[in-house]
Amino acid sequence: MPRRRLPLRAYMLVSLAGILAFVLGAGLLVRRALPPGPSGGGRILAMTAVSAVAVGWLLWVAITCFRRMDEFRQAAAKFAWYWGGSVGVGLSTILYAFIGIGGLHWLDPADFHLGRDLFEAYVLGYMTAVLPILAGFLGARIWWRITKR
Amino acid sequence: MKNRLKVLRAERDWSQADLAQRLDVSRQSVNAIETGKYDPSLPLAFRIARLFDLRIEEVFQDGEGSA
Repeated sequence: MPRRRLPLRAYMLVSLAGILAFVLGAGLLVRRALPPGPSGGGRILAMTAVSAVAVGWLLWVAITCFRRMDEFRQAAAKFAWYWGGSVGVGLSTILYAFIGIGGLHWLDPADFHLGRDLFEAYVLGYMTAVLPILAGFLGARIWWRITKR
Repeated sequence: MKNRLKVLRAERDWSQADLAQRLDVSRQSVNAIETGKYDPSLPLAFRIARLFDLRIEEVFQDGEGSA
């Protein structure tokens, strides 16, 4: 007897609605309780915690969706994440280098100037996005090796 | 990998959707397997063979002429 499945779209809609409701609701609560200001350590911690819960929710939805897929769709998802992700990170590295060595300033000197502070923020922003992706990739490989011994 | 899925399905007058429902997979999966664009996992291949009451090598051939 085939298992009854909700369509994947239903899970995605629930995911989106949940994340929107949570982030908007929590954002409003934090904003009222801890107004923004120069000494907003509590606010920073609260919003970081809200982000962590939101990501946890998304992770749960992603796992649920993946388990609901049949193997053909799972193979498609793995293909898309591996190759799409790899190519995407590769492209971002090229763009990172181009912008980092002054490519935008070279194209439009009037509007783009990468000063020291902006350059440091740029490097930090890029690394914050890319390093966790690479760490996740490595972690997944290690997990695979450990569990498939 | 070659397979006789389309023939076996036609013999029973099942649509791809019918077969997909019996196997608890999507219709796209059945289509991809039938057209040779996707090789099913061993568990799914066994499920397919069992559904048609055949041995797995009677449904799937490895394309090297051994079956």
